[in-house]
Amino acid sequence: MKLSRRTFIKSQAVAVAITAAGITLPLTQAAQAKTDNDDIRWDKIPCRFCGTGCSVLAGTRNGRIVATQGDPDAPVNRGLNCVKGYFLSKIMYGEDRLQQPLLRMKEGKYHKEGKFTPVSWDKAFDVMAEKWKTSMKAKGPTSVGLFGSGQWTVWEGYAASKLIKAGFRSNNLDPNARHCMASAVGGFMRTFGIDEPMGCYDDLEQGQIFVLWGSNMAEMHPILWSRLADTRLTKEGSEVHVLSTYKHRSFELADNGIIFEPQTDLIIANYIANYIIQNKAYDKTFIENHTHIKKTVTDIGYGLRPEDPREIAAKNAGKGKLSAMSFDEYAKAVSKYTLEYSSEKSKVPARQLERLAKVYADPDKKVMSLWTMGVNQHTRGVWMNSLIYNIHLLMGKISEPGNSPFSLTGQPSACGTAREVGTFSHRLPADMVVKNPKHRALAEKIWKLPEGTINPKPGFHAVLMQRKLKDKVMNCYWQMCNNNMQAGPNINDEMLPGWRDPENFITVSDPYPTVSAIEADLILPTAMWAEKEGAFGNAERRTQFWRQQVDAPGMSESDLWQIMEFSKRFSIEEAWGKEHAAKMPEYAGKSLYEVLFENDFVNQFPYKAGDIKDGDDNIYKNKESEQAGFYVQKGLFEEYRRFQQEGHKGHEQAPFDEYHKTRGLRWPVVDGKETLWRFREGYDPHVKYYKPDAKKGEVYFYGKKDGKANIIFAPYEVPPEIPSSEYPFWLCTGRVLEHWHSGTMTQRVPELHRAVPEALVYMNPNDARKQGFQNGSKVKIISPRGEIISRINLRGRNKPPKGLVFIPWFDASRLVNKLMLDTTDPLSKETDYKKCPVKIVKV
Amino acid sequence: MTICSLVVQTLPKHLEKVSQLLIEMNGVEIHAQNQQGKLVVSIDHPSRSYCGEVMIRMAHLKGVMSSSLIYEYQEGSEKNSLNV
Repeated sequence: MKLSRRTFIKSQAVAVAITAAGITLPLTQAAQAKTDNDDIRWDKIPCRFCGTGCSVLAGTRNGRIVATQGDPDAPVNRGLNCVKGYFLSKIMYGEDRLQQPLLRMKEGKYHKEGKFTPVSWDKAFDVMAEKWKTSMKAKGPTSVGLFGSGQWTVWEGYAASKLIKAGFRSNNLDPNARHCMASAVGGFMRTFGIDEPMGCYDDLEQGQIFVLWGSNMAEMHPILWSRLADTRLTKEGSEVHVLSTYKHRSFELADNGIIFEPQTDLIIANYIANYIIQNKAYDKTFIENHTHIKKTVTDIGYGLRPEDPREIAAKNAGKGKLSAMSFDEYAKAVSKYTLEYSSEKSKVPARQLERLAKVYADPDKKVMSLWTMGVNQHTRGVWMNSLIYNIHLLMGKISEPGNSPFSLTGQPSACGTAREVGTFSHRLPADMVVKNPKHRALAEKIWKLPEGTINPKPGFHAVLMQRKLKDKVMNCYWQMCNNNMQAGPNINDEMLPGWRDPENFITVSDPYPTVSAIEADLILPTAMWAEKEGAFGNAERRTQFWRQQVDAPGMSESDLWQIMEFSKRFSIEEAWGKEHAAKMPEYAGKSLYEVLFENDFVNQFPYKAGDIKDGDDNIYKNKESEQAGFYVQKGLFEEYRRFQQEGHKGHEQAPFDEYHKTRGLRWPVVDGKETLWRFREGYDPHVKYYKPDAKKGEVYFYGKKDGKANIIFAPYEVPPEIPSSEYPFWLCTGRVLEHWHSGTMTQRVPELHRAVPEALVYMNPNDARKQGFQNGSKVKIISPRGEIISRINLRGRNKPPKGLVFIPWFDASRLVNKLMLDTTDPLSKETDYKKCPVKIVKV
Repeated sequence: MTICSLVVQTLPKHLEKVSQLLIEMNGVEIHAQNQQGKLVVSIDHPSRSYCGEVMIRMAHLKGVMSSSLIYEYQEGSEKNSLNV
């Protein structure tokens, strides 16, 4: 049979899709499939967007990525790709790509009120370094800081951590993951003593009941949602329960769609625990053998400035102390959360709450709980994470296929970089913390630093950095790989003043002129995604590598190069102070670059052009290694791995070269094998290491010294602000399918921009009628902190209940987060973006 | 020329209605389906932008749980015009 070229290609496309869908078709059609890629070079690369970690095949022709397709060999997405993934090849080619450093200048010199003027890298870093040196001399190392990202590659985060913590002896390093994952980390550490989920994406097929606690997976994690939908539609007895404060796309698949009053998820979770206890459904043996029961101190404030009356009024502001309680005491504590009480407070019909409780309480039903920002961006986010674990621990439904409390992530390497490398202001790699002298000692040993180099005091977290800039405590701030001026809360009152203060010097590294960049003093053009060799770690502990596919435009350089290059501007004496530098005479006169990166470990892996090849002998560049003269990424990764080898066992990754050969591996990787379910003998080799007599199937939570996880009781507490007669609506912000975060990449893809050009106000039609609004009405949304103008949407994908509106935050022309109070979970320091009282008036 | 293939997951009760809406879209064909509501769909159109926009439209049809791109072939150049 002769086929036209078009028919041939189409049959090939269809055959691949049929395979991906698992549908059987007559052989004749499938047999026609054959690759025909012309001159396009295809290579694997993880997607640049969310935390799912899909692998795509990037097609490069003449030095430009021209197409992407789902990677059929990827275990995460099995050849599938969402709409954002479809347009990945376009994110690097926006017309307004920054191509050279831009410094605010007047009369040939830096000036705070000057115009952005193109300068060389040397000039840019000379001016910046001078500002940093002056600041450190006057006020010490805590006057400078770096705000990084869960979108950094693993080695960018690691190099930044070294620069700030070892180089400048400041702990003022925090990632934007503070805004999204800090509460999840807090929950993991308090309950299990080790970060990240015990289960993995295989639970989406192994599970039977799926419960979404504050997550709109249908739009935010579409590929995982398609796997979940597959199970729901094909497995006997499968159910989907969705909890949210408004109705969204995920409700279309829901068997039990629950809309609750903001903040009352705390009540619902305690009600389920109460139901389990009242019905004696709990697993007594599991609780006795594998858990401790604790309670947390209450009335802990809202992470506001200490002089705020709400902080002064709080009895235990910022405290997280746990104390023991007996099972009976715990049962009594949750007994308050009866069905009637919980239904009344949450405004959820009793039968819906009971239906949810029953699936958790049924020992024969496997339950996977999934959550993202609804739970994490919460003034009681750490509590809420643990309350979900409580339910799983009471039932022993954990650490086995299908029984899985699973915290999803929003950024491609929130886990791999921000959390695992520890780029938070209080952390070091592999779950270690700056407060712990043993952890500091290990870091100082691996990094070859004199004792006492690492500051034992945690640095400023994301929101605190902004306050400290405003208060001129911090004077130099470098923001990389994120757009905090759009993402952060209370922009007008707490962020912008510090940025524009003439005493402060603000640097922003970005590929595009974002809202942040235009408020900075120095803009550095960044090489992004496929323009550098990289590594991301996704939500299921999977580390994935990619090779540099193309060159970055103009003078753009990767964040890794920028961090290393900047360190060359400082002598060790300037960075550490003469007294401390004298403790290591062999470093005298050396630059920070030499001490951190040419330390006879990082620079031990040679590199020459042509070294990096794929299986087909295609050659790839590696710009940073070319510039440094050694294989930079390998050196940093191998040094980083020492923290996993020499610290608390359980975080091990494979050697560098392995990852270029695989579609990622889920840590801990032991003897070359990845781990799918942690803490259970038979799945996790570390159980035997920590408990040599463990029997097959036995659970041991080795993050804690005695192998026991904590069930942590925490009550309902009110949010810092609630709707009033003046501000009668709850405002919740979030994302939409087409755009990712602040839209700096997706807004530059014309098709995605046209699909959703502006952020709308999703409102309940009854509320709209009362206010005299119609679909499309132009309105002003006002909070005590500011106002924005947008249009009402009554027929869209999101359907809020009465009294709540939803506005996405991707739209740079409507900075909705400036309406938000800069309140944080007092324990995790993560902002609550999900409940802010506003009023809405017609324009 | 742009040719894409997709897997569209529908709720089975909406399968027929969604199929109808899909084949009314210019350049869209359905090649296979199963009882669980899965459809294998292709888009064949000169414009890559058009294909992308159709994909987004599909994702938002009532009864569609997810639409995932599987394969794309593109030939000829199309200016990546931007007015954002």
